[in-house]
Amino acid sequence: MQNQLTTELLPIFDLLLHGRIGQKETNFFVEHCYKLALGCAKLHLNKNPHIYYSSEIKAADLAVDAVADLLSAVSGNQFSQIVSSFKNWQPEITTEDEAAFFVNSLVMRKVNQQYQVALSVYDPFYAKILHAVDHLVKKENLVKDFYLGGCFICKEKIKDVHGLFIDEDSFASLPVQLFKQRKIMLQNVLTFLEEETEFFPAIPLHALIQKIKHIDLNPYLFKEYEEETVSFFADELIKASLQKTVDKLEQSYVEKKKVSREVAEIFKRSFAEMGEDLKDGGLKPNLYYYVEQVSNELSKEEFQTKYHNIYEYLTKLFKQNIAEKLKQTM
Amino acid sequence: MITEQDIFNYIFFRAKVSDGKINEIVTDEQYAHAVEFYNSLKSETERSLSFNEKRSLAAKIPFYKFNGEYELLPFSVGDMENGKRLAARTKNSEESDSAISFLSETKELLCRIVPTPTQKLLYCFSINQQELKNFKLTFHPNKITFECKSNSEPVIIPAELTIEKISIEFV
Repeated sequence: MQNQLTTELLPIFDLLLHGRIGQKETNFFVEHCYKLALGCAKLHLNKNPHIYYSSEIKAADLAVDAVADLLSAVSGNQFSQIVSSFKNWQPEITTEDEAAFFVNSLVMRKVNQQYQVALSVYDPFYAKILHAVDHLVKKENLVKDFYLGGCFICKEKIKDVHGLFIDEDSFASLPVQLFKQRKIMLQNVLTFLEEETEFFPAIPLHALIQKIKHIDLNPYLFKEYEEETVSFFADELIKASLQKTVDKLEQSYVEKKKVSREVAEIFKRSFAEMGEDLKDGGLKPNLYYYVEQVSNELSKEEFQTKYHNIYEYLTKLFKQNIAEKLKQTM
Repeated sequence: MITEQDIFNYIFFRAKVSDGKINEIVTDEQYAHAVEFYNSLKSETERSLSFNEKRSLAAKIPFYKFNGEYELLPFSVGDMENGKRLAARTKNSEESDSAISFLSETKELLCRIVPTPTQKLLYCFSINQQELKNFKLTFHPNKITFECKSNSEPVIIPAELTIEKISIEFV
């Protein structure tokens, strides 16, 4: 039967544990991890085609980053993370299929981590909500586990698979009321999945964050929210970050006559549009989209040739400003 | 009880899964997505990496040594499936019209041999215009080799050398 991997992983672990791995095995191992990571990255990106890593080439970047992170040297030993995980893995790995599944599991986790890093860079609110959700997971004595490369929140580790895992679209359409009380939100959703649906009781982490973004960000962004002392809401945060970006536009480009007053006005209005998208779901990859939402006076060609680099820089700055403001609230 | 590892084994190590479990995985629709997921991963693990993928890995993982060998065969611009022309270099006054191009099977590496009255100049390119470093060129059938540190300059080869195939080995 032609189902076996062409090169075996268990002997590679034997070499790794004894510090005798050669270049050929190293290359095979790196390439094998990369192929798994790429397959997993494509799955993530197919689910969320609007985000930063939007093409197959970007999926490859995500996969390379994941493998590089997995094999990043600790105390000069590039395999230390893998060897340590191998030794601690339960049940003990003694067969080729167990070794292959172990590698698969490690790679899936790393891809998921890199995906979160990418989303955090792309969307400043993502990291903040993720942090808040992690806090809730601990507080509610829940666990995070992985299934088919995706991260899920569950009551206990996933042992066996009974029932379908909820897909992102179905999760997005769950009743809003379930998410209203932040402190018991995760338990509410898990109970709802278990009792009211046919789905396996596990919350897909990424879909949860998107759902929160579309309901009401504030309880997840600011600790003080429930004490009603909050003075700095998401809208104000966007507004302050926008103003800082506009100041930069004025000082570095308008005053130095690199951007005309008329074009600067278009930029300012488009950044306000962008702010709404950042709050609600994330930026569109095509930046000109935001310009054409507010004006038809600046053609795409003129934008690309004269202003794209400036606009891209200001967009990055805008996101950085939001991220800094968010850090101040943590 | 079906676990994720059972589904993984069903795709990669089927002999490890009992007939009962196989029957359950095949017949129960709830496992269809997982089977599809691992089938697509298996397809990924069975293919060979491209030149560019290997380069990307080598750029980020220092102990991964990119040492692949590639064969380049003659081709004419009309051979390109998508009709795109590969503009290797602007022709200058020294060059004749009898330039020959060689392309790797993956269409990622290109060599262009440009004869001048006294010698032949060989230019190597990666299709995405990345610099190529530390490679060995072997010209077939004579098996004459040249060690190159970079593709930034052309390789000067004897005018009389007949070349049917070029191997590029990254060292």
